[in-house]
Amino acid sequence: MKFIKENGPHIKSDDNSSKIMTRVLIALIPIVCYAIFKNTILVYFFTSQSFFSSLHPLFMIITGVCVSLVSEVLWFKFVLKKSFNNSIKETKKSFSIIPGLLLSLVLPTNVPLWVVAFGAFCGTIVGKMLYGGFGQNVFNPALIGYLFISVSYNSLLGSPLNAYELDALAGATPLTNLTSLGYYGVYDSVVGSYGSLLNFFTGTIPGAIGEVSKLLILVGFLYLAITKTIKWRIPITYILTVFILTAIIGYGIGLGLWYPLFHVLSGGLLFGAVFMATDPVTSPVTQIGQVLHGISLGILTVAIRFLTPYPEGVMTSILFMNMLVPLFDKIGVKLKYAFKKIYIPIIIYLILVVVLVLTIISNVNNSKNNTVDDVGNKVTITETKKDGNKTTYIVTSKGWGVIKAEVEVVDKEIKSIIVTDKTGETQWSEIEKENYIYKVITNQKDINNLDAVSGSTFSSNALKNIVKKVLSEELK
Amino acid sequence: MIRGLKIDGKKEMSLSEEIIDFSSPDKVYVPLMNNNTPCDCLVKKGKKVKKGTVIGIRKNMDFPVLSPVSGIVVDIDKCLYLNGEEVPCVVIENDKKETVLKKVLVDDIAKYTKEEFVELLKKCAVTGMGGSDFPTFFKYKSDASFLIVNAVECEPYLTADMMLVKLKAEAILESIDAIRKINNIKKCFIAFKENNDIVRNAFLEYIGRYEDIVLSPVKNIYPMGWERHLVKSVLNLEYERYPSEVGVIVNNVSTIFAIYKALKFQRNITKRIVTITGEGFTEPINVLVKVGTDMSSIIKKIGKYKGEKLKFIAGGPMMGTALSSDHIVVSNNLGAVTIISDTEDYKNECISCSKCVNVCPAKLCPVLIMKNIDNVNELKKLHPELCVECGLCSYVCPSKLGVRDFVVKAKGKVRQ
Amino acid sequence: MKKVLNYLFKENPVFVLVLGICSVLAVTTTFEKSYMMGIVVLIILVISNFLVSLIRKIVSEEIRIPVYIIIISTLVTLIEIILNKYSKPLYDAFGIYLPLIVVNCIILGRALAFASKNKVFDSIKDGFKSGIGYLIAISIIGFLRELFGNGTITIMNDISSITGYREIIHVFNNSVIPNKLFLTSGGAFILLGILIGIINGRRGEV
Repeated sequence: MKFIKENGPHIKSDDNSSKIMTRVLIALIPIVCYAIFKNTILVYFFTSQSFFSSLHPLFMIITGVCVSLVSEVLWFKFVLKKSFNNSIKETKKSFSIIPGLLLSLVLPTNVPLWVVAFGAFCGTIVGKMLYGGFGQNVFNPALIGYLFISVSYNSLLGSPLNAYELDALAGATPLTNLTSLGYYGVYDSVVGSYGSLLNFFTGTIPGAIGEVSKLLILVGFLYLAITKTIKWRIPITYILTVFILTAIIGYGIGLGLWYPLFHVLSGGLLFGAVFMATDPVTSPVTQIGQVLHGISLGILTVAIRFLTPYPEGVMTSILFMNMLVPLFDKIGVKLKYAFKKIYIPIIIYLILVVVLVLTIISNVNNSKNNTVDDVGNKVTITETKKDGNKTTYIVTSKGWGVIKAEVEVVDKEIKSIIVTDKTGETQWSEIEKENYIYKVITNQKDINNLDAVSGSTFSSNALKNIVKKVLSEELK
Repeated sequence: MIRGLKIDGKKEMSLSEEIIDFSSPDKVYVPLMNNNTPCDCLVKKGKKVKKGTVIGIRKNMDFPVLSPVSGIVVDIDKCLYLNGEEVPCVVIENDKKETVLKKVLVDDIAKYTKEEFVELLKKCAVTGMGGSDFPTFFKYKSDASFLIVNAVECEPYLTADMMLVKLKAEAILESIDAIRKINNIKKCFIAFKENNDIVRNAFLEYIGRYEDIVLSPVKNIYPMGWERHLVKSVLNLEYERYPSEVGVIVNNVSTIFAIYKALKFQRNITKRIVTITGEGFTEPINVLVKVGTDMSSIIKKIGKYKGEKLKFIAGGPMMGTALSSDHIVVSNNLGAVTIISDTEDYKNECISCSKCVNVCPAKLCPVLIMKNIDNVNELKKLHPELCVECGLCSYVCPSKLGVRDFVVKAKGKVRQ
Repeated sequence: MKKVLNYLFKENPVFVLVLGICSVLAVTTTFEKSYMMGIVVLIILVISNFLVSLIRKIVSEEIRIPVYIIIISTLVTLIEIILNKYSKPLYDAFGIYLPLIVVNCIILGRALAFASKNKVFDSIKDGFKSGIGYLIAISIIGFLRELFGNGTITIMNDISSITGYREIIHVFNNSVIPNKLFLTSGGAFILLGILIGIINGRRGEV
């Protein structure tokens, strides 16, 4: 009787990688359903959009999934030169549809389908296949796709409100709103215009299609953590760090407990923490490494939210920390055998946190105190030239970067604004398309009621501030 | 923190019937091996031997290999050992008279001094019957405060130790008490799985007489039978390399019975219980066989193989070796033969899911060892020499990779 | 045609030897800037090779590099002054990368590797070969970057003060949104990488 001779344990557990992928997909099903419900059914029944165009979120998800699948099959067939059957087999075993699905869930609902396809293609090829295929990638492929979209077609990501919300609310996502308020505002202006914090929790606020319903994300996280499918230490430490840091900042600038809750419940934080940061290939394997990963993600997200003009910090910080995963694993291994040395990372993190929190609190308090003359430190008049009744002001104004302009004033009325340096304004083409400078000059008496150009809020505000400053200077 | 995983034991299979006695074979093939060290042969063809005659010796420890039967040496041949290799063996034809070298019967088995005890264990070739085949006398050379008797049997499918306890609980307790008195041990613990009622009930009948022997049920996880886990779970002590550092001796319960034979009759143990089990065999059962028996003849008499793509494993499915034929000979440390079918086809890449890191009882990172297998400097920082080869990393891997093989390979690389 | 392909595939300084990349990545935001940079580098390369090979026997081994750099920087400063006078928009558009031609690896590299060891006429031919290769490479990259990143092809805009001819072709109408990735330096790197991959992959077949 011939017996099989093989190494290793001869019984294996029931679980396998395909089952893990299935469980992740099961956790995503409620979120997909809600995304389609919120952006399709509500829009169709309450506005006049046709049913086919209301189905846009569904098409986005289908496009993302199909393009990532097809691009992986094409890569196996044409670049790695495998046969067609082998390509299909390989694609089945690798988690090929998950990057496409996650990417389509973090995009707002108005993104055209070809942009989703471009993002899914770039994410799969650059984020996964170029690094060696499944199991070898360094960066999260869904986030690489999102990065490509946001660098290439930033203007198309601008307005996340669907048609139903545009009727009910006006304005931007909660986090962009907070940024434009200078990170400080009372409950009514920060949260109130969208409802209450409960609305944030259930997801009846504007945002990307998959990330708004925090309740369903929490349910998905509990399911995945109990079945031990994902590395649960990372989301827990990430969200706790953000909560604690924003709580300290909120206390420092004099706001209540709703402020950290608002920060945790808005934007892509929960979705990114549960589904993107826990991607098994791009996160640490040691337990201490995972905790350090979560804490670093939290610190970087808070820093990006408060110290840079970007309103959200989640995607960038996850991509950045993906680079540092081998370092966290190295520290995790070392601390396994020399646990006493844990005070070294603790001290480093404490110093980082204290410096960060103090900087943010002082920044916000400074800008809070300057609301009286809020235009004053954003626009500076560098030169004044008088020529009869015509005065020319040469000003610099803070937009996304810094704008330099020459303003001609005749009889206390602005006649022309010539922008001489706009290199820091990445979205200036939007300003030109809308002929915004002409609008600013025409509306100079009523400048506060003029809306900013969507997609280039900072540049629009810079132009508006120029008008305010120059006019106030003229009135002196 | 005791790390491990709950694995389905599948022990009911071989417990349904009583054990069958096959301890009278025509020929025995005694392997000249001890603890994976080859032994020299001391007999020639035609020599008449009795039970207890020295037929081989392990040179570096002066440790003898004794004959389990009385008869004539007919050949010096090769046989299949439980590690999968062909090793030299002494073929003895059994005259079935069971004559012993010296008939002794000791009344009070505690009436030995410690030196006599150690010498007796060496003379009677008592080895670790839980799988290590390590000469037991060496463990008793140092002083000890505690003795832990390992009746856990954490490998799935195995029931040999349980059956021994069921049949010989009284003798085992007598032996433990004697060891305690001879070596001045403070307290003795019998460790067994908390859901194992056979062992508990068998000992409960007699344990009332001994106040310094304590029953210690332990958690039902694999690998609870590991020395380090037992010392931590029963006594809450930790040691670096050997339990003797903290004054503890750990012995398998079958070894304790072998010590009983050595103390009472001053001779070697010649038979042991072996479990024949697995879904690939029609009649899973425990058998009593002589050391050196060829298992294939016994299996033929009991039942048949069933199913396709079968694996014949010496030992349990987690730490045992798959053999290419069923002509394995029984050595002191063979506890079972398991016949199961090989159904696993799934294979995938490593996704760094960290399940192997979460489950490793030695607190290693097998996935990092696998990824750094070519870089010896990195391997040294990951300490692969602490691996006990329990197999949980390969068991739990969702991509069905052979993770344990990488760690074993890394062990070899780091040793140089 | 075969000769042009030779310039592109055989020892092309940008795609094969990967030299002088910083100017390729930085000034290729419009087609016009790229081919003007290519022409400037070509002129400087030819003249510097000529001069270096003229004096190759006089200069001693130890002070070779400072002497060559003096020659190259003199030429670059001359070109700077000329451009500053005749086409200020182009001079502003080049910015810092015009003086950086001094340390462009192609010019110094060819001077050290070839011109300092060979006769005058051969050095001029070599300078011409590398310069044309650089011109073709940088023009391709500038063309693609502007086409995808802006939807236009600028044939002549900034130097229109000399030639009096201004032409910007709008290839796509307003409904096609250009891909801003190619206007960033990251996108330039990606495009350069793709082209290096294609060219080196096909090199064996030419």
